[in-house]
Amino acid sequence: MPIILIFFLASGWSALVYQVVWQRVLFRVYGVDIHATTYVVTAFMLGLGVGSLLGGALSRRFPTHSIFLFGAFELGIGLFGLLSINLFEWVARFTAGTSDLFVACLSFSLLLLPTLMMGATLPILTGYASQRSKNVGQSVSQLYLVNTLGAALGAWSAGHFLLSALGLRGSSVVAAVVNLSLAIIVLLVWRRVSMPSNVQETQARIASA
Amino acid sequence: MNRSLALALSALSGFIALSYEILWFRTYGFLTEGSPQAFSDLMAAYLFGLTAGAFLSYWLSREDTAFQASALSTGGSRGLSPAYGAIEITVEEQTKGRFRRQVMILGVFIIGANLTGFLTVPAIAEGVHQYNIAEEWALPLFAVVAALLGTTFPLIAHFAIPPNRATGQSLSHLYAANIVGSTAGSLLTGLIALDHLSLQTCSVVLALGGLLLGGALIYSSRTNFSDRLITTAMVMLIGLHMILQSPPLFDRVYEKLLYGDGLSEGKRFQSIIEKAAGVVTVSPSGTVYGGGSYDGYFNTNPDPKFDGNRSLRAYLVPSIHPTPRDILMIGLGSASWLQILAEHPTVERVVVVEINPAYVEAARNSAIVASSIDHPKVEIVIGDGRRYLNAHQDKFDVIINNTIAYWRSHATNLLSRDYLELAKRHLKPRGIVYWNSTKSIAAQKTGAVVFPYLMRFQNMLIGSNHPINVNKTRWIQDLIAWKINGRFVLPRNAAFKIAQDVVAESPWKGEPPWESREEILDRLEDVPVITDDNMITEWSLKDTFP
Repeated sequence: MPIILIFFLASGWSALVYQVVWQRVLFRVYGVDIHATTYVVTAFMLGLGVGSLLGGALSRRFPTHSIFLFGAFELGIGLFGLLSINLFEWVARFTAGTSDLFVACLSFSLLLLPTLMMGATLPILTGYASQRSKNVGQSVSQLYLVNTLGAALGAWSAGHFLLSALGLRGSSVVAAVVNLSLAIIVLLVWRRVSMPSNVQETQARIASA
Repeated sequence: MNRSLALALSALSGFIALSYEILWFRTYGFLTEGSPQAFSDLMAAYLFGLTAGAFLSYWLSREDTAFQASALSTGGSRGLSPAYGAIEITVEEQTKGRFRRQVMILGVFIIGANLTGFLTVPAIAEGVHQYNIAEEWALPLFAVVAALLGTTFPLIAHFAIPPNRATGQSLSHLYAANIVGSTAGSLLTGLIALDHLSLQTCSVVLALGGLLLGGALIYSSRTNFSDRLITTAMVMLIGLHMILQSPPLFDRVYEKLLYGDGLSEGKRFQSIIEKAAGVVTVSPSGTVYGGGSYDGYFNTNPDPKFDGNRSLRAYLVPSIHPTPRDILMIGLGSASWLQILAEHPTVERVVVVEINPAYVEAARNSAIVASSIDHPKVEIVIGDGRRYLNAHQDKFDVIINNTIAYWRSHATNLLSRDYLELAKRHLKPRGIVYWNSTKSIAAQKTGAVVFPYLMRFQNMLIGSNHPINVNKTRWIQDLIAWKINGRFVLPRNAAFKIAQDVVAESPWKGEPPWESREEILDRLEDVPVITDDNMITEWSLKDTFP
């Protein structure tokens, strides 16, 4: 469990770095007027909400694959993060200066995939953790705690170090490297644990926990 | 706790939390004059608060492990759905008592969060005014309230969801409801309420809503009449007290945030215009502040004795472009430049793109510039300047950027190489971009790199694709002949003398007022160029010249 918490802290850190960076890029392209900014922020939150529902459904359907799902989503977030600035700028070439409604739809489309994956991770890990601790409040609190702590550190470090040192593109690459590293470690661990010889041992450990 | 109540509470707690965040961002942004770190700092404080709240709820839910586990196993043995509702059906007697206690705990947290949330803005304003506290000290206050708000979501999850294979899915519903509530809070409070209501009214309405919600939860957790009566009376008393105390608590709140301990007794703004896009305040002397930062002064008099906002720079325009017919002005500021330029005989059209409609309203209220807003040559567009340029193909003789201070959030949008290249594409032949570098050396270097022809006049930069000719004789002639609302701007008996004083090349803050592109490039050889990506003046390079 402690290692999961550390991973989830790192995941929260990179999520907020992305939020600060992506908002800046999209505000620049679609404007910093109140409507454009609201659409971008709303798109971010709605993506997290939809992702949460998806994560919940996956957690129920594949209760023994939580670690794999977490790793897969981190991989997806990292890959998107790596390409995000280029993608936003490419789309902006054709859509800058467009109508408010289109900005709303576009913001949602651009942010849906990564925020959906971010939103899915909390229910997935909660399902995994609460099965082990038998206490939902503790599991949610612990995961929510480390994730928001990571997010707080992400917001702070983006504003005070990353953007001044690396700019928008460099900051998003650093966040992507964090996600990709997490994904690789998590997926390697999952592969090791899910090998037939290790399954029984793991199940026994869970049962005795 | 049943599913519907849990979902509703989750959504409402998200609504309240995001609404507070928006009110705090307005306050903190005003206090920091729109610092680029304001968003990330506030976000960090808010999230640290949520972290503390999660820790508190972790502690509060420790004792329930055995109970939840037994509830699950009993519910499972009766073949019931293990999702929401298992607790109530399986251990009925215990559950009623526990349920009431849970609801009461939530009610107390919600009321506590809203009371402290209501007091946050006045407390910060008072701290800045009375004790001259640094702006960063506002952040722990935000975090404390966020901690109380942040406790509710994990507690709701703990009270409503049993631990089983459906836990993840059940949580996802609560989380989604929380996010739907947060989104609604962002839209309703940020987009609608702040456009029609003051910060004070929004704070009172939000706190009253939270008080009612918390009160209703405590009320429903009590079973006897006297407890319910006391709860109702307490809620009404607190609510009434909040309403009655809000005028003195919020009195001169923006003045306190702006002037701090320098605010004299009785001094208050001439006008405060609050819109969703931001707050514009006007001091008794006519100084305009946008989001707590200086943004101009109502004045069109170029006489150096009265020209506090150096409106002479606006009078210069026809002397650096021979026939300025079409002008694009990005940023209205005090509208003084608009008033001056709209009255010039060669000008046929001035398009003003302004993000915040509060500036237009402030200008309408000023006798000095009010007529410019409805001037037949003037077209005002409410929106983002870059977005306007991207959406329109129009070309202009003069593009004027009323730039915000280079270190403020989003200043890059009008100072970067990328923006200047965009503006350059919207120039007619021999057109000029005329913008305020706000003395930033990086802005001066960037302009010199983008334009093949460039000059600095005081803190302004003049960039063009063609050689720039400054006609000082015309400047004097124009000043003498210039009329606003049918009246000469300079007195007839001293017009020539004053015009000569205006044009005189007196040093600008100890340095020559004019500088060529080559001189700038020599002076700033090692200075980097501002780009959309590095946003260098916002985050790191704060050096100025002169």
